[in-house]
Amino acid sequence: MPRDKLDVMQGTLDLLILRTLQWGPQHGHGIGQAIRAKSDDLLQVEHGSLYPALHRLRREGWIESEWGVTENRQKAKFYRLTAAGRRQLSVEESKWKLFVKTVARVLRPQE
Amino acid sequence: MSWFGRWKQREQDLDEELKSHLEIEARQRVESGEEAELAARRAFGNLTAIREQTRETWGWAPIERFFDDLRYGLRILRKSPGWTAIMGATLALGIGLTTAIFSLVYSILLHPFPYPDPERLVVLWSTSSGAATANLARFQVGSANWIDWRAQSKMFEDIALIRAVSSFNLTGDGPPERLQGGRTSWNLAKVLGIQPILGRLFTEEETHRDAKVAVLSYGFWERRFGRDASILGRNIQLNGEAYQVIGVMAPDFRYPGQDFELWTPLFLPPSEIQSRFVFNCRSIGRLKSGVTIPQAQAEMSAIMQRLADRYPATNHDLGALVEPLLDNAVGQFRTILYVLLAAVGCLTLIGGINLGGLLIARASARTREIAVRAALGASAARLRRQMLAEVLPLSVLGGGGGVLLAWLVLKVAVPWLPSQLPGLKSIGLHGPVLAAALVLSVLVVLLAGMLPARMASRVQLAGTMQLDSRTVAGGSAIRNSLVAAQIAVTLVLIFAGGLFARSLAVLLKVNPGFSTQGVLTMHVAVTRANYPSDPQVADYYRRLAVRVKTIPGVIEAGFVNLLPFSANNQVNPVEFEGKLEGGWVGADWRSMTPGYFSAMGIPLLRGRDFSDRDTDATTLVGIVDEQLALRVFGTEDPLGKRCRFATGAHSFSPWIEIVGVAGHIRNDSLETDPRPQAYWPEAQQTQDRAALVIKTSGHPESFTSAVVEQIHKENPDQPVYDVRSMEEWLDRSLKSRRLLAGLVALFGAASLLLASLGLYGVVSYGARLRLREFGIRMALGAKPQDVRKLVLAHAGRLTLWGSAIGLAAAWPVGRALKSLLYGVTSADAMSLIAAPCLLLMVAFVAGLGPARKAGRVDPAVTLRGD
Repeated sequence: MPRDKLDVMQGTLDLLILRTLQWGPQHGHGIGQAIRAKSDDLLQVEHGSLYPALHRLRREGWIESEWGVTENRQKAKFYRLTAAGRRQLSVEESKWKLFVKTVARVLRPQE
Repeated sequence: MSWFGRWKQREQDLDEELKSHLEIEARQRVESGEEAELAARRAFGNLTAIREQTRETWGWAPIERFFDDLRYGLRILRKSPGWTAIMGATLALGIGLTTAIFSLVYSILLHPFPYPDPERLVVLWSTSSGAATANLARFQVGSANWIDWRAQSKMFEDIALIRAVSSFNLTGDGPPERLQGGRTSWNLAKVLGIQPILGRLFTEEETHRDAKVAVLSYGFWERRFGRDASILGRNIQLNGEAYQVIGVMAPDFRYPGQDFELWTPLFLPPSEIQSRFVFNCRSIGRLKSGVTIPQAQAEMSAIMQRLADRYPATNHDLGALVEPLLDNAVGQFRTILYVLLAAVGCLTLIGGINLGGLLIARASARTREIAVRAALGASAARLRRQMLAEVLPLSVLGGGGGVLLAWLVLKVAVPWLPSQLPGLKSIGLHGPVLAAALVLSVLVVLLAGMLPARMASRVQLAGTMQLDSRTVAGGSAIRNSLVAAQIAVTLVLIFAGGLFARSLAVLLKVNPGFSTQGVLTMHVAVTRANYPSDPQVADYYRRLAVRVKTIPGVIEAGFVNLLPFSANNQVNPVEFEGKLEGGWVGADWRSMTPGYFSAMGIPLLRGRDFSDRDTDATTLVGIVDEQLALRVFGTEDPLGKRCRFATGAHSFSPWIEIVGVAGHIRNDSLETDPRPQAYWPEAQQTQDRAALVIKTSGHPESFTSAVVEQIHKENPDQPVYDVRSMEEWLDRSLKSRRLLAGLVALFGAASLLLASLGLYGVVSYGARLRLREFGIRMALGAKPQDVRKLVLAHAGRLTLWGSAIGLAAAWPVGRALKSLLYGVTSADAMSLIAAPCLLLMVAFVAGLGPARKAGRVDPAVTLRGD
């Protein structure tokens, strides 16, 4: 893996997926690409993490899946955010913001 | 949809999803000019890994992994069918025999009776401290005492009284038949807690007026009347009298014994109750809930003390004994069953150890594979789980084979059990027995599998990976101690088998005092309605004997009221004129016809035998046995002296002249010799029940039909029953001993085989590991026999260690078995020496193979091999 790419931190992948799905249903490949595009290629989602995460989120009831067809007429499984998923997203977002703020405070050099 | 169907669909769904991903990716890459398929695959990474990781999120992963391990285990087992067969057979042997013995324990000791709360049922006996009965630990109950017990006891819900009648002669409606039955008090059903399946039982009122009514056993009803319900109310002819059938009992009700087929009211004549001197009943009581045996015993003793004060003439030395029904029914067989259970337990243990040893050996050979698994990230727990899952299929094999074997063993062994045991009919592979077998098989396999599993999880990665497969070794110390343990347990089993076999051998040498050679016996019970007077009965017996003696090949024939070894007894106190200071001697009472002594091969030592001239009109005569003669008369001549027996508390028979002295015989069994015998002529002391004893010049059973034909020529209505050779009577008394000695020896032999297999395994494995060392030794000048000695020494060392431990354990084991031994001590030197010698011999043979192989080592090959 090239050096200038970032690993997705444990626990943030769920947030990224939920957030991506907020813009509408998407298939697994699309989710991975969307995350990469939005992060200017900095965040690389491993497929080995993506699919287990998708299945985990579906089991939690935050997303649901349905077979569909892409613009290129290829068959793919599309994931969509559920109502519970939407609520979870806001929870995760605020938790993330708190986390970032807390880490930033820790990292800020002491006066 | 089934769980499996849903699971399968989800798998397909995942596959398709990943495939579609690949296709989308491939298309994009192709559009940007990459080489299609390959590019996509590269981008995706390890498909299988992704699939696995995704599956983990489904929550079924641990179970699936378990099934994977199981499948892997099955594959390994399939790959080495010989090894699997040995393991499975070892397990099946142990589990099968244990299950078989446990099903005996379950049916005979745990669920023997078809009555509710059987633990509250007790059998009551009379005991006596008087000299006349000093040889009888206990005897039957007197009807007068029973009436007092019922009136005075508070610990019992009720007490019933049963008089066994061995000879109900059934006539009319088909061939004549003799039935074993019982006259019982009206409350027997209440005490036992049972009800007839048809009709009713007799009432107290019917008992008091001696009503002629009968209740039939299910078996008799089925056999004789084809389960015809209209039998109720009909009359049957018993001993020439009409009895009305009023009820039929359930199939499993056979109190007090398997042979009992019919029950009638027990009428107690007032004269019998007043005399207080008739002791010929069995008694069974039901304790009130919560009452213990010692409490009941204390109460009964107190009652007997009160009765002794009130009726000193008849009760002064009488006591009562309370015995749990189960103890009464199984007696010594309880100990025998537990010994057998312990023996098969040992066998299973040895089998389990073998399994453990083999698994360790296999795990050692797989150390590198295990190390690789660990290196790839398998945790210790994961490895342990894998090792266990791999061996679990073995428990299915062992359990299944074991149940099959148990079924076979029961089929073969049950007919060998003493027929008086309770619960025999219900012996089988019941639910709890099967559950125990299942638990046992899983437990044995898991325990055996635990050893290599623990070893596997302790594997040192770096070291093992560098080792070369030939030098990989592990578990030698554990395997050595396991084999020593096997040898120790085997030694104990062989020692116990030796004790039992020696007891049996001693018993077989015991001379019972009579001869079984060519002797046929059968019972005939006279129908008193047809022969009302005693002389008629005696004459009838005489005529039968004369007829039987006309058969070619019959040497002699005679009647006796009770056969030796027939488990029936009739004991009477006998008084000798002017001897023993007016005291009594309890002796076996035998009424016989003149041919009996010579037919049974009992020698007449002095005086004369009875003859047809001894009748009810001539002087009363008797014959005593040598023991009685010696005890009463010492060196004096007993001939011409007089004796008599008691007929009531204050009444006696007339004086009887002693005309002969006969050889002493063992009447009860070969093991015990409790009493002397006194004989009276049938013509003077007539008995209704009689056994015909026929001495033949050939195979006794072959005379049966000829003898029965002669009897039926004299009286076509005469039932004949219990036809057996005397040899068979003798064998029956040895049945449980043969079973015990045979089974323990069998288990010992099986253990020996398993232990020698274990020993062979560990020694040959040890020798294989030391091949290089042997090569070096030989290169330095050691001879083949030196190397052979090294290997044999390994086998010898293990055996000596095991034997030492086994001998230490044999001491307490022998003491525990004491009650089952006869004629040998619990520390029988012969068994103590023979067992380790046998083991050393077997160990030598087991070590010989690996030793010779080691001796053939070619140093040039072995040393270059590495």
